[in-house]
Amino acid sequence: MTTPPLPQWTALARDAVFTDPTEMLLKADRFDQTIRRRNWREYAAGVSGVLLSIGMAAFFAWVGDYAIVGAVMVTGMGFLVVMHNLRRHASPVERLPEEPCIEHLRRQYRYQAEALHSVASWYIGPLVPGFLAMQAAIFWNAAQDRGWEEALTDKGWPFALIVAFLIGVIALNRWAARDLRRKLAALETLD
Amino acid sequence: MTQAAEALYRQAGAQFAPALARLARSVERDPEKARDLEQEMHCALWISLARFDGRCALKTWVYRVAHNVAADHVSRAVRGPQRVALDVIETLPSAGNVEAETAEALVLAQVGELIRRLPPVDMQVIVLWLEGESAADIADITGLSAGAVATRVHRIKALIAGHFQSEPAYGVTA
Repeated sequence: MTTPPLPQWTALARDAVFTDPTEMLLKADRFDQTIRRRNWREYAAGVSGVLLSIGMAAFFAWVGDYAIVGAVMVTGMGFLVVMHNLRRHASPVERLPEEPCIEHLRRQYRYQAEALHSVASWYIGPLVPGFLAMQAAIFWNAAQDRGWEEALTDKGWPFALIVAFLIGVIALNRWAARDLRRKLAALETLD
Repeated sequence: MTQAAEALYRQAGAQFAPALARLARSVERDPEKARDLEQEMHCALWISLARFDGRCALKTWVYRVAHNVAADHVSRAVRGPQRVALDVIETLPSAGNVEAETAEALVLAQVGELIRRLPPVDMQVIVLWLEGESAADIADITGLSAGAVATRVHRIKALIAGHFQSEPAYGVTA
């Protein structure tokens, strides 16, 4: 340690103290409760999604629209896969805050860049089969009533807009991943 | 928590509590959020000390934990100033609407603003330098080379010296 270069800086917050260990125990308990509540909410959302899919499938089976039934089931399964992937990707990097700061930053950037770059495979991808199956069922039903040409003209625009939106989401995530990789490359040249 | 780890936590508190408070307040302008960040640092340290094996100094361990928690806090922030590397900053930034009555108070406010605008690596070096840590210790804590630390310290010295050029009464010790 050397003489502080700006004494006014080290004169600040001289009376600060660490949080008492007893209070820390309470905080750790509260943190565990927060995690348990979050896990419960995620579980409830997953179960709700499955129940909604089953309900919709049952309804369309009752009205005899089996193409929609199949599409809803595939969408529900895709939803479950996304829930599972979200849980896996949302979990933070292994907490080792005592590692040298630059190593910590590198691991964070690498992890986040990878998650963003691969969003097409773990977030968008599992929903695509359900989306395509649903669109095919909608086209099929419309074509039965009005013929394929009119069905494609009427239902094609919403389909194209959703596809464009999904491509946009993937592109934005890849752009953010590139930015993080640039930061990572800059870190690699520092030491 | 073992008694040894608790003793280390108390020792760290006695030595570094003000430094961690200053770090939290320098990266987070909002006083309430800064207090939360400070407690987050305490919590991370408290948990991590169970793994402390003495392979580095307690000071190195404490600063690494605190700075990594601070860097994570910065990366989570949804909004904030655009971050600019230290080597492209020409002068200390404006301290915004801080009513600084003396050059000392003004430079502290400006240094605080500078720290909030820097990318994490630059921020870590500057804060540790302000705490009076040696270049070797800063390199050990951050993982940067001694040369990379020296370059950043030289730059911040020049920026602060520039601020005081017309105020010779308030010097900066090298």
